[in-house]
Amino acid sequence: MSSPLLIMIMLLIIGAPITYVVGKWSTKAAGWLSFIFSLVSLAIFSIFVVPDVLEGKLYVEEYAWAGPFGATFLTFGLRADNLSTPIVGMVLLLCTLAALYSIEYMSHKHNQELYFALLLIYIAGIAGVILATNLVQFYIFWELMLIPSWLLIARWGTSEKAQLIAFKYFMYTHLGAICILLAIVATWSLTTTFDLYSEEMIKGIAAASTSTLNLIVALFMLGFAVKMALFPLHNWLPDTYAEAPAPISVILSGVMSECGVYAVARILLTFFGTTFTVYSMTFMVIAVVTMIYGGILALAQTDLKRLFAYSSISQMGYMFLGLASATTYGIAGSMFHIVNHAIFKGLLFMVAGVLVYQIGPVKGRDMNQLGGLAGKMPATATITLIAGLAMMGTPPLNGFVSEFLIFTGAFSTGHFFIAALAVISTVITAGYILWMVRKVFFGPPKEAFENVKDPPLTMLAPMAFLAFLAVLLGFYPDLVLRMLVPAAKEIESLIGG
Amino acid sequence: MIELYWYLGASAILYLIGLYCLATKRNLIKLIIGIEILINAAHLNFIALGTTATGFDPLTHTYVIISIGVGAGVIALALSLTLLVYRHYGTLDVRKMRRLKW
Amino acid sequence: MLPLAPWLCWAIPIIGAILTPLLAKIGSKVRDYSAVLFSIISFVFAFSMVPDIFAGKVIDWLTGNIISNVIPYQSRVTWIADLGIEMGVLMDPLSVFMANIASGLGALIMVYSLGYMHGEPDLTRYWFFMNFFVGGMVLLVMANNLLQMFIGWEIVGLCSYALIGFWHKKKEPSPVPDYETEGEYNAMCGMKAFITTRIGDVALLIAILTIYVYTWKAGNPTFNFLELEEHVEWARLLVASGLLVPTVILLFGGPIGKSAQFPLHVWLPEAMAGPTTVSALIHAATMVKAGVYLVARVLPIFVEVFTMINFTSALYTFSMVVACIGAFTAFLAATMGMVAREVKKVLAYSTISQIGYMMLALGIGGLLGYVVGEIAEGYYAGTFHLMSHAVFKALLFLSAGAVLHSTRTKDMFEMGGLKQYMPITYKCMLFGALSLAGIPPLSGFWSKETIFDAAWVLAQEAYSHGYTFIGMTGYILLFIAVITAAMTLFYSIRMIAIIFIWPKSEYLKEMERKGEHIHEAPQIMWVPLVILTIVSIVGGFFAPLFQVFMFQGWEGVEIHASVEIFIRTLFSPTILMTLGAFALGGIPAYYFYWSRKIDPGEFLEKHNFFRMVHSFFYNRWYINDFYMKVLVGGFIKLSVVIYKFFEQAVVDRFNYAVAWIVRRFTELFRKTHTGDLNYNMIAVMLGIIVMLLLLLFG
Repeated sequence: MSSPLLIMIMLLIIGAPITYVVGKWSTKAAGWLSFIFSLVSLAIFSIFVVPDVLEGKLYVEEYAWAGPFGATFLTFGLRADNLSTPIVGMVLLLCTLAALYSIEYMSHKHNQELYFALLLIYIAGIAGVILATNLVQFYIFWELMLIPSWLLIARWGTSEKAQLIAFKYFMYTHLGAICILLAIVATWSLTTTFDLYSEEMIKGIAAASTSTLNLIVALFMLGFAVKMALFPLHNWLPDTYAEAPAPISVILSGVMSECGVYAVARILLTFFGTTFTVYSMTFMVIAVVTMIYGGILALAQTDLKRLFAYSSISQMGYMFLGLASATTYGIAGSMFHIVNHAIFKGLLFMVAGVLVYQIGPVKGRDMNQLGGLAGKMPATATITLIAGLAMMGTPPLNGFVSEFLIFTGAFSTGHFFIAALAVISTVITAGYILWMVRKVFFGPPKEAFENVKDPPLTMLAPMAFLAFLAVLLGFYPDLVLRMLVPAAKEIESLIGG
Repeated sequence: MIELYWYLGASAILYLIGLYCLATKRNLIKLIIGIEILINAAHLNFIALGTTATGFDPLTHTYVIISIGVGAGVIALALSLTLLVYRHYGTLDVRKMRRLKW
Repeated sequence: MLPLAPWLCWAIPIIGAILTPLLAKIGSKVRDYSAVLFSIISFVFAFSMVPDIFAGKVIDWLTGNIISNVIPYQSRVTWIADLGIEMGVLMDPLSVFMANIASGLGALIMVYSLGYMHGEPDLTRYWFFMNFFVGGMVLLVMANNLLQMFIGWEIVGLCSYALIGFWHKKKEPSPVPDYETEGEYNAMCGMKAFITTRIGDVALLIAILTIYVYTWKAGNPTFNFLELEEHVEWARLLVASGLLVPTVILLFGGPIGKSAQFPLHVWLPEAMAGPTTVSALIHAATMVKAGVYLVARVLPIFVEVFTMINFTSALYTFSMVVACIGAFTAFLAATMGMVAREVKKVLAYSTISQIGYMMLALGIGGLLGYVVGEIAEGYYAGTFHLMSHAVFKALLFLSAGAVLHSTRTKDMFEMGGLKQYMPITYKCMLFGALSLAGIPPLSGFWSKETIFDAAWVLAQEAYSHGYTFIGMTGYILLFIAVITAAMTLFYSIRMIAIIFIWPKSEYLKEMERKGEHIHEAPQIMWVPLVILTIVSIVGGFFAPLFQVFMFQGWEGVEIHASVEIFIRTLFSPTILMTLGAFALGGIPAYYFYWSRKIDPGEFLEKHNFFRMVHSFFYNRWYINDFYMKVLVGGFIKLSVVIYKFFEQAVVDRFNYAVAWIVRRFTELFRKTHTGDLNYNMIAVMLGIIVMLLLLLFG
């Protein structure tokens, strides 16, 4: 196949209106169709692109895009290299599983054909952001991620204030996106090009003055920080994650916020590395504050989904810490944590969705009313425990590997106390996770939950598969790390040089 | 020969008269007359700038004549709109027609 | 050794654990027996490594090849290729010894479980975690590098959590008022164990990562024990940045948590909420020893490295901390054990106390290393006591399990008179208790004496080399250890007497009236007891063999000829102190509990002072309450406060404030859209004026 990456994205985008039309006829078919489209995309990616990247080949597709009078000044490029391949693979995998999960979960809701169509566009947007090589294209896909998700939250969100919450999410992220746009334009003025991997870009940045570079990095960071929900720009996240429908929360927390992390690695660290590392200490402090703040607030929650939301804020802090340290270990750990976080946080939100689906939209989320469910839903309980332990960083699960890599990176910067503080905050993570598991699943069964049982197969299968991945990557992290570590080494050498 | 600046000054005065009329008068017919004065000011400007000591630029004069013709059409349209407005609102007072208020 | 023994002895139980759910589908008997079989096979592999240690070389029994001519031997495999992180096993006396203890006791306790857990629901989960635990523990001790050891460390913590909370579904009322059912209480105990040990684990992780980062700065990034000892540049760099002492202290934080030393000892009594087999395996014989193992593992490394870089004061600080915390913990826990009501709690406090002894011994070893350059004396005392304690503590817990099983109560004061109903259990538990108390000629006596002896030697050597402070400390530590020995005898006698010698309690009489008879344990349960009793009795006499084993591969250590050890121990100056301790502890215990000449309850009522002391000990010195109310409760309140008064009040309000400002501005601006043509034209005129001005003056 000559241009698999392009076909992959186009398939998702074109699939959306097809799904909509099919959905008008039968909603079940729309659900399965959206699952099939994303599965095919994933298959195309794994079969045609991944083997080449594993061998060490870079996979870049570039198409001339726009330009007056035959000259091209914008190219549309899709780049699958060591850094983006695992992330895109995880994105597609998680979204495919979320689509499968949605079939049953959304089966009693309204306008499902629109939901599944929007889902496909959303997936395309995320994949496009990660594969983009051109800043304008990056921005376009960034906004392409935003709009379907806004609509998905507004229409299918679970509270009466869903529209308001979606609006808040949109405004916050959009303001961030505007900062990114300003930074992109400023970069263009420095380098007269939008292409990331081009000669002019590198020369232009090398020749720029420190104050301009500081401004550009600050603007980019503002935009990415909003997306990553770093303290103090995190306020949109708890409401959004808690009130979005469960499969959308899965994708939101699993991959979309991580796009901010990825973008920092791809754009800021690779190209503006020298400026970025000047502020490494500040960024590390922000990361640790985010970690601790998210964790402490998670302890204060009684609503299950809000707890997971604050937990996500805390985990973003972990990822940003690895990047802020700007070392091979830290960067590799951060990127691996993106993959891992998608697995276990996606899994946890799926569990929250299962509880809502089986028990009810209000009772299913209130931890004070839940309890003793392990006997009724043993598979779900085991899977939740695996996901929770993975997030806490317990070996032999995947979270341990990425966390210890991030912490090693933090320690190797020489800022001992900040790094030690970061490690100490894992106790908070352990606290709220174990507390959550105990409140929801352990204890004797309550009479109110007599008829509760494990969810149907189309919801359970994705969860089981993700749990399996968590265990697999814990035992054999090299599956992903053999791509990420060389990428991290490359980035570090660029910073040093 | 009369200096250029006299003509420009005259067209400026006509412009200001037109603006003043638009800014203060309430009656729709008066407003239309004000627009007409504004247009004439522009015409005068064109002609004045298009004439030199030796001759004149035919293109400017051509534009002005076309503009006068178009102006006639515009005024005709404006007057017919005024008629319809009068039938609808029962008044020609422009301050009473505030449907475009926020 | 059997082929691939160092790898298989921990891989087999883990694989067995993963297979357990599948085997359960075939049948419950298949599952039970195969789970036990996996642990037995693991023990066989572990035991096969023992002859190689004695011989000093590693020979593969299958092929007959000599794999290595020297002990220690390590085998390595790459795990994360690009970062050079490896997995590996290290075969040396300490690791083989610990592996045998873990898998041997594991196998024995698994066999016992067949009887004890018979008929319980959810056994698949039980077998899974028990096997996973054994595998994790053996992985911990066989690891050749710090990271892998930490992985095993966390795995055993995870299994401990899962097994403590095993009976989380129990519906009976909870023993403490904060929870409704016993199931919820059990789940809380598991969580408390995990979080408390995690605090220690965090300190350990910080230390491990710091060491790794400094080895990387030195140009040789490694977690490997042997390499850390060989290339010492990392330590020099740590000294230069002033971080060496904090790092080694933080490293000890892990053992403090995992081995339940002060101040992280509070989780072990609650851990007794799990099944008794779990308490025996994890909280008496193996997991809590992991901290002792770690200290024993790093002590020689520290001695070597710090001597090479001429910074032995770090060794001094480290050993001082270890010894003092060990001694204090031993004393602290023994006081609590004297007044506990539940038999398992007495044993739990006793475990904390005895591990304190082991830490004390290792700390003394380190101080000896500082003073005379040789740690062997203390090292030997610590590891010997580890072995003898593992045996008699497992014995005590398993006997307690038999008693619990047949009387269905945990409270000692609800038992009594069991001597005639459970004679085998009585005799086994009696020997276990006497060994614990250190009565000759049982193994506990020899191991405790060695510790006292080491303390005495430290004090003597320190004074003769001019280190008066260390000498004084040596004597003080010895004193504390002896007092603790007195208390140990006291609570051992108390425990045995109340359970077996005292008259039958009302509770038991009620039980018999209902038709449930007290019976001796089934054979599958008392056979392991008898085995352990025999080992406990004769184990002490294997000291010379043990010494040869442990010091295989050490340079310059004097290995005493066989009988010399016993003579030295019996005629050391500390023997008088031990006898004094027996008198101090034994005589009151005899009068209060055995012959019942003085009734303890009446005694407490008459003497205010003793009642206050009793209450202080019973409330666990109020340490646990302090942690729960002030630290935990305070932290949770803090999180709620931050949520209410910062997140909601400040950050949320900030958003609404921004939105409100924009809206007000819009509303004000709206007023300019009057819809009035005349105003629009005025605006046009103003615009023209502004433009003209700009043109003219701009």
